[in-house]
Amino acid sequence: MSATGFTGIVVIVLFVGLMVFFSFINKDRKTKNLRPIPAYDKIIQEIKVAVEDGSQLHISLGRGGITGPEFAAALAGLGILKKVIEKSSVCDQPPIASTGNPVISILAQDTIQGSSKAISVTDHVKNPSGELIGVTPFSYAAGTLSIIRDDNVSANIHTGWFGNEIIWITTAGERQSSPTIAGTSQLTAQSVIYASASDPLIGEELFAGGAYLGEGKIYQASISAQDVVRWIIIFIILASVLLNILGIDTFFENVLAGSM
Amino acid sequence: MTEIICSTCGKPNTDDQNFCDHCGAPLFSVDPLPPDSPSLRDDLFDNTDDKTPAQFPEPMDEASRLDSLLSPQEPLEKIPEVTPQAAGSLDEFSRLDDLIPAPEPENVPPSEGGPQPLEESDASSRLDDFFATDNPFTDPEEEEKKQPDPPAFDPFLEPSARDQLLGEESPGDTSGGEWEYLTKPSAEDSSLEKNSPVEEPADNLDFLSSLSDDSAPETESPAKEPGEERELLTSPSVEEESTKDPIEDWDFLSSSSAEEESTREEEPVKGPVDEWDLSPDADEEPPKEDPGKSIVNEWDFLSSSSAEEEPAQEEEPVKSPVDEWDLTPDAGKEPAKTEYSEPETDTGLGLLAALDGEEAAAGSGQPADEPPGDLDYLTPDPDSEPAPIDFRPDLYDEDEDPLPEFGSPGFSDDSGWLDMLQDPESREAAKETPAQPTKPQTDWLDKIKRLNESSDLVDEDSSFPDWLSVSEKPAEEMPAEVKPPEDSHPPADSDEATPASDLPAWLKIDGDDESLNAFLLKKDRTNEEYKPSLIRGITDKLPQEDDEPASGLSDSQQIKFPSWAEEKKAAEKAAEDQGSLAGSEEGSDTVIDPFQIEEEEFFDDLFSDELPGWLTSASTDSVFEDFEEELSQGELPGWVEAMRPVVESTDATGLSEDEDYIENYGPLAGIPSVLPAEAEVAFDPERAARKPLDLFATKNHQDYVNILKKLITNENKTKTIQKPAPVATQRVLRWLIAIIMLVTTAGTVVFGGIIDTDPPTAAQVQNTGYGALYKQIESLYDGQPVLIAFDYQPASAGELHTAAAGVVDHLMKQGTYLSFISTQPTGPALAEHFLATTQEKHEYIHTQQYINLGYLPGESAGLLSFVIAPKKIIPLAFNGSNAWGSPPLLHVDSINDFAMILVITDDPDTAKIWIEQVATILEDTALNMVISAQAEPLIQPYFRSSPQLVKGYVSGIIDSLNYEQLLNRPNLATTAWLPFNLGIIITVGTIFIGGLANGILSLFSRHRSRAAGVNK
Amino acid sequence: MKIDLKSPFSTAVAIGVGIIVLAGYFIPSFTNVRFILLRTGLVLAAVALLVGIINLITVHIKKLGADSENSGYSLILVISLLATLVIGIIDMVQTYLVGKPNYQMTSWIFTNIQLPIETSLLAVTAISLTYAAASILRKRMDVFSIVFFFVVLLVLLGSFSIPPATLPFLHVIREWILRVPALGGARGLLLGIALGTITTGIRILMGIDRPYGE
Repeated sequence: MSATGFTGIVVIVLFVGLMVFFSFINKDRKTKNLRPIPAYDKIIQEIKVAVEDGSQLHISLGRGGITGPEFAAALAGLGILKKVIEKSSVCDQPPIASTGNPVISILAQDTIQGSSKAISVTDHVKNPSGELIGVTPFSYAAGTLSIIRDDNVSANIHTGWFGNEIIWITTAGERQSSPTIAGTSQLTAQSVIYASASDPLIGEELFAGGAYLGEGKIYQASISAQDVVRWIIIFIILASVLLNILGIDTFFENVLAGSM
Repeated sequence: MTEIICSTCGKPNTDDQNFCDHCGAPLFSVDPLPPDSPSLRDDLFDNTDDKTPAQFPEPMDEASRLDSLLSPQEPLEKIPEVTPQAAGSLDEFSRLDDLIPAPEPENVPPSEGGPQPLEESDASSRLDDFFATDNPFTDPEEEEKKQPDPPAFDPFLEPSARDQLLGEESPGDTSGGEWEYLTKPSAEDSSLEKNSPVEEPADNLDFLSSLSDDSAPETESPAKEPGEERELLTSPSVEEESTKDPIEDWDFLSSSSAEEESTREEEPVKGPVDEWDLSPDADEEPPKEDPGKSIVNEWDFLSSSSAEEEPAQEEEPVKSPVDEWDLTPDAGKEPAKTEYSEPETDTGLGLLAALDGEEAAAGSGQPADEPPGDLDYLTPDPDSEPAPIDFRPDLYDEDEDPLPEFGSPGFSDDSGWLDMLQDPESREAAKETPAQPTKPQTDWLDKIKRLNESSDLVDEDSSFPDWLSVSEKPAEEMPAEVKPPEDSHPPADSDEATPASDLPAWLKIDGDDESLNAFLLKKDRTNEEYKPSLIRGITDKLPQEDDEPASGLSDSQQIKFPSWAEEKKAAEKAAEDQGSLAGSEEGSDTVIDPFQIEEEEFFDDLFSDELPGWLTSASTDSVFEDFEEELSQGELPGWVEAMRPVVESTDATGLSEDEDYIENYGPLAGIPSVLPAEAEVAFDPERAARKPLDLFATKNHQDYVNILKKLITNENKTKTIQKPAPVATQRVLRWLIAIIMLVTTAGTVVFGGIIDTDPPTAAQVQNTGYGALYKQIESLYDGQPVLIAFDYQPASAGELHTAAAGVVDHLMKQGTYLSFISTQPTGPALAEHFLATTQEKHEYIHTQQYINLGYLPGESAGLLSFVIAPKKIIPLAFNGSNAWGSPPLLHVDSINDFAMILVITDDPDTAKIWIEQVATILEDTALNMVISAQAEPLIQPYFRSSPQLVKGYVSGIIDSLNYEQLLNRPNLATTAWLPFNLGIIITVGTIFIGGLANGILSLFSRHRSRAAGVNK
Repeated sequence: MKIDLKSPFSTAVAIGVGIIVLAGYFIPSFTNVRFILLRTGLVLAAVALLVGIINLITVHIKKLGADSENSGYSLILVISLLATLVIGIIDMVQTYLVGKPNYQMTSWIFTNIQLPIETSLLAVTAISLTYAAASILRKRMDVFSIVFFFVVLLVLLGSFSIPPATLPFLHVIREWILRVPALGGARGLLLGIALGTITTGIRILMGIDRPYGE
């Protein structure tokens, strides 16, 4: 087993242990010990507005596939989709889901059906459906514009894997004066989202949707685990810098070169 | 307070008593009222009278209620001793005379020593006055012809007493009937004088003793048996002087009364009075009883034989009910009107005589001045109309138990002792007068009989004495005057419900009485439900839940209330609504005749404080829904109302919290210090709304009220949610930017040229990505396989084609074989396009110099698989040809057999995939990249890290330009350099200017919003 | 008694396959199984692409029947898709029959329709990005927005290279920005994304997240 493999196993085991540990600690805690993220507050607010107005919410899951790291962002978007459906069950119209990847489209439809069944929404006509808008980024963006420009859509939530085409989506939402909550794991799109969206989700905030939307205690535990590991990584980086300053950096390089 | 000595028992009584508390005998003689004198009946039903309930006596207890019911309103004169000699005088039967004014004798000389005919008119009038001023069952015309009340008579003496009284009388003597002994003054006198007062149970005898009234004699008299010689047990003198037929007022006790009320062709209804048939020959047809059975015969009114005699009398002429009371010896010879003589000591007998005489007078239309001669007037005349019984409203509470159906079959023409009480003269007069459907005035006995005839609910074996029993006379035998109008329908839910036609005349309601109507309106609905079923005029007009036909009485048959009741007339709708809320019972469409009750019930109800059953069950459901329509109010008889202890309270709504609050409505009427029954149901919201509120509201309160009103009124108004004004998208700025950029770049491309730039120096090239790439490609030689991955989107083709053109050109210049692959579906097409547009000068041929492997699915996983086993993952080329047999891949078995891997991508993640999946496996093969400028920051670490995963890279147009300058082969980058720089300049200027402007505007708007917030 | 095997079976399969593939990265004995599962996933991904396209067609065909304002666009999409599909099939048949690659019509569609459209869309994206950068101070006025604004300007100016107007220090600044703050921030974001990706994957392996339905 290589050092990379060993490191990977250690990281995975550490994460699992921390998640379980924090889930037991936070079992009885009713308040969330989380820093405020305005984007999720906005999501909840827009759900309420949609209930009041009788309007719809548009949830876009991006074009990430299941075989790469973009799949994590798509899964995060699916989790938010599920929670939004549950919270907006009393809306007159169900939320609209759009995807740019066929696999994500199938998963979105499955999530919608499961959530609708859980909330006893059996009206298939009114059930939301995850539509495949386009297989290419700009075809996906162009197809999403028609949904965003619908007057019945009160807010847009873009959580998933996006590229630079996200600028089209956020700009269209700005024209409709509908708030846009966007988040992606791609760096370039994050800069675009930061400049164009009303409520951006930067970095790992996309993966904290379950905890902020009340999915469960395990989600808060996973966030706590992330924080712990993040501190660990920070410590390691600082330590490496210190060692490099002290001239001990070659030692780790040799270790890493040998293991690899 | 003076004391009155009872003439019967000799015990003292208070002067406010009308009947002796010990023996029940009337204390006063009943003086016949003049014809035009206002009677109690008039007062009862005359709404114009100013009398108030308060003017009437206070509610009495059970024991005295009946006394009060029977006792006349006005204090009666002391009843003188009745002596045989003075049998014809009124003094002897003063008591009954007081109650039953004897009719004026019609040329009937006063008999000496014999029973005097009863003055039916006097008796009738007295009874009429006693019961009510206005008898609902009497016509106004009849009231004018009031018969004198018969003298007081106490027929309720026990048989032993009567035997003692009448023991000298020969039972075989049929002249006076079985009750001859009653007609003999001597017997009576002696009995009255000698015998100790017999304490009779009040429930048996008292009421009859007080049945005598001063009401006007009734013109109607019940049918009497011809030849009945029921003599009033009073002195003939009393009978002579009596001008009224008191028997008429007692029609309710006589079946013959009921018979008279019904049509003549109908079969007479037997009533319990038949059992009272004290005369031996009470019935002509039935055989005379043996003397040995004189005792029994004397009490025929208690036996059922009289009931059997009733059907036989149907064709017989109508007798005055006094005939039954005819106690004179010659009572059976001719149905002469018995003269009522005022009883002396035996006031009860005299009362009966008076009653009989009244009946005779009423039935035969006797004049009011008919003196009471013998007791024939007590004999009910079958042919005569039953005299209606007047009621004293103050003595009878409508909430009390109703009177029994005295027009029941129990009464018959053979009314026994009642006939004996009848004045023979009055009896004859009653016979002579045609039977007219007139209201019985004073023939209360006939009324009793009629009631008994109309009632068929009382069992004969009831615990009640037979003389009070309600006979089971079919309803059709009821007098016609009691019948409901043609348009009314009888209640269909009870077989025992007696139609209105069965009701006695005295229970008929006079609908002309407006004051009564008003009074009824004022009454609450709880009272309504207790009203007898006679109030059918209301039910007729009210909506019925079922499809039962409406039943109702005509106005003429409605019960009238006494004048004092008009105080309560407050024409409030609430009263009717209250009744519908509180009193209406679903499904209780049963309209039960008030007299169709069991005998037990009657007496229980009579003396109980509870409402009679027939009143409670007579409530209709939802019958008071539409009171807005003009409904004729039901009228209770005066005697019903008289029994209600009504006390006027200061607060009409009954919501007073005063301790002295006395309930006005409902079953608790008259009872002080009770919770108002109508606290909730009696509330009239409309009326309450009209009531001004004496509230003190400040200005703040008023403001709050206005706010609340506004909130309520605006609640249903839909508020249009105004969406926030759309953020000005600055379309002008957008268009401006677009125009400027398009114009400059397009113009530069079209009209511009190439800018000569200095090539980078060696120092500048060193440690650059493009420099390292240049060196690597420069080291390649002819025929080395190079794998090129076209992993970018078609949208990025402009930049990446420009950036990769020089690099691929350098590779082709070196003569390497190229293999194209892509993890994007559009990659193969892009590769072909790239070659066709940028490298056409090299003229590479597919499967000769290059091979296009096509699309590699699965992204990272597919790439990893391809890296491990490329031939397995992609066995064929893009066009289906054998790729691995072609010269570009002839010597390639694994990924490390490639001399270089060049990845062209615009996505840093794709680049990372290649780096992570491929670079870690590569050994000597270099991984190079041509990336977009946006991905340079993320890829550069891989170039500058150690181990170096990326050997070289070209980032965007800038590095491509430099690369071309190093290569000294200008390509697309050199061409695009000027437009590119101009575009940058324009973009920077736009961003700078726009940003600054927006920033300043934002600052000002914030300041304005803060200022506005401070002002708020 | 109704037993729903869908949910527990799906969960068991997902968890098992995920553990095996993860173990294949670290344990050599699971490498072959891992490859098999990965290849199976690749096939499923290709089939999912086909399913997605079919879903796309059905959705837009439904929109054709509905009275909506975008029904015309749906009609164009359906026609374009069918036309491209037919042309591609024709090219494949010709290539198979002739034995020589002949994708001229398909290439023509790609070259003359898709490529220009997407290239143009990217060009418009540049304008949108410019506008977004220019209006960032209007949307949010904070320190980071101001820094963002000026960094954009510096990087762009550093890219400008016309010799008479070239400002060398701008190149240095641009290089420093790209190498230090941008690179550091990007690495930090990537680390956070990586941590989030790990937790998401672990939640799937633990069965907490079930995107495949209930």
